[in-house]
Amino acid sequence: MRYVLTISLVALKESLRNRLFIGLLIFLGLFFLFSVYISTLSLGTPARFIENTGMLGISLVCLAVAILFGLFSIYQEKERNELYVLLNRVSRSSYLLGRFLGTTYILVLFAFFAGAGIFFLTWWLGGEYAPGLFWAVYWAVLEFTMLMGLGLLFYSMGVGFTLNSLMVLGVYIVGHSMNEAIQSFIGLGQLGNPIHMALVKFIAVVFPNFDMFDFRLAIVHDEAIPLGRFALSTIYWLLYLVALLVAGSVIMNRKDT
Amino acid sequence: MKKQIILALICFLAAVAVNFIEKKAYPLILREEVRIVPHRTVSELICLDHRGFLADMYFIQVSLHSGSLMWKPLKFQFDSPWAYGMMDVITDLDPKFYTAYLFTGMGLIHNFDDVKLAKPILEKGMEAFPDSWELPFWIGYDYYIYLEDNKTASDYLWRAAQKPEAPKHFMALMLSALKKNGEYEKAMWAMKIMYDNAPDEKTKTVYGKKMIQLRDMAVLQKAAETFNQRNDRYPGRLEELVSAGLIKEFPVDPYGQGYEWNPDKKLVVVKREKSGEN
Repeated sequence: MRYVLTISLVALKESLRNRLFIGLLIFLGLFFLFSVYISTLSLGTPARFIENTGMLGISLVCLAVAILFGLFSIYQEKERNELYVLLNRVSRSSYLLGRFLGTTYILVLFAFFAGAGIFFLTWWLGGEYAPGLFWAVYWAVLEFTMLMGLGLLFYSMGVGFTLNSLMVLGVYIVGHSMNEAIQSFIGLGQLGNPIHMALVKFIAVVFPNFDMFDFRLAIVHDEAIPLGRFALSTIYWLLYLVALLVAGSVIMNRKDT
Repeated sequence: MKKQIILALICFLAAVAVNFIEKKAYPLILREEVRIVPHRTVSELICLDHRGFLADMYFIQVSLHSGSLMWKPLKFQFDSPWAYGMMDVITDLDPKFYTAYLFTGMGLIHNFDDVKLAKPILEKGMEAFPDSWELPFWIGYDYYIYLEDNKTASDYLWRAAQKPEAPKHFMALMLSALKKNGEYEKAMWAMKIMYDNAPDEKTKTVYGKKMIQLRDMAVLQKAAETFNQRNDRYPGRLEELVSAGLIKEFPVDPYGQGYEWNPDKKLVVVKREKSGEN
């Protein structure tokens, strides 16, 4: 555990020194400007438009962090990874978990920056006090740490960076389309072969379901999220993430032996 | 290195200049925008759970199309099926997008028939916001003003008036629709509110007389309906209601104009002064 924490802090320091960090901050700033511009076309409801655009900004920034900091840098430092393992006798799984934790710090940092920025803009330009936006930060962190966990699992399996990124993006898209997919295919299952139905249900249950973390409309309309839903989504995230990280660690450890 | 940078800069500026000249030489020709109503499921798929954002983007597209007609040449017309189709998708994506509903009933009406396209969307809004008085109000208002459909107008204005936050300032409009539709009892209710909120005694006196008038008309209308049930025809003249024993005596109009039967509308109305008559 000590190694994991040390590696995570090193990963954090490296990320803060990385030029990508500044680049993403600039991107975030431009996104704030975009949300302000969009809000001028809102016919009198700027707060809503800033919130919606801002939440898209959070997702884009977190996706970029997950791929660039979470995946790209780990591939970039593959050699250093080997050095860690060989010189410090750190297990590969500890390195993997350390990198994951380090990227999670950056993810939380960016998501919080983005959330705080939108909160301020909503209050300043939209005249609305929307603390619910910090829940959007929470859900984004859950969603993208899970995605990152998936990317690290692919990494541990020896998948190359390009393919890994494409797969992560693919899972992100599919994971957000689960409900729509079930609705579209359920007719096929009902009318056609029961195997279709079973297949649709199987994929929908096994694939990461990012719809679980979608409370954006409730946040915009300032509606309370039922405690049951909140707990369910959080438990789902925790279990799925642990499964991904443990699987990744096991695969990495097998390389040690 | 320096020369290369200068060369790159010069090339860039030259490219910008060429683009500028092209814009001058071939001025932009206004064309119709690409207007497609994306299916709701497709929209939900492509937005990756950012429904609110996509709804906002669609909303901007519709409001820009509507607003651009103010400066575009006359050959550009409002595309009602597209605009209302989009508003339907927008409110499917975010059923609590209140401004979208209001815009549908207010700013988006360009042609008389748009009112019919707006109605189902506003009704969807009424389900999402059951306490809103504005949504039924705008259906009622649109039907009254654009289509002169007093029946639908009075129905929705009445529903709007029953909402807890409904203001009293559209009572006169509702009263007019109710009266034109022969719903005198409901009109009396509206008149009573106007009477209670009258700013001064003089107005109160006028409203008081109008209430008496509406009460009389309600009694006469009810009697005329009973007459129709019994005789399978409406009375030719209202005085027949007295001889048929349906009312004891013919009411006296507080304004002195009297009441008469309108056979076309099958309604009791206040006598209008015609040249040389009454």
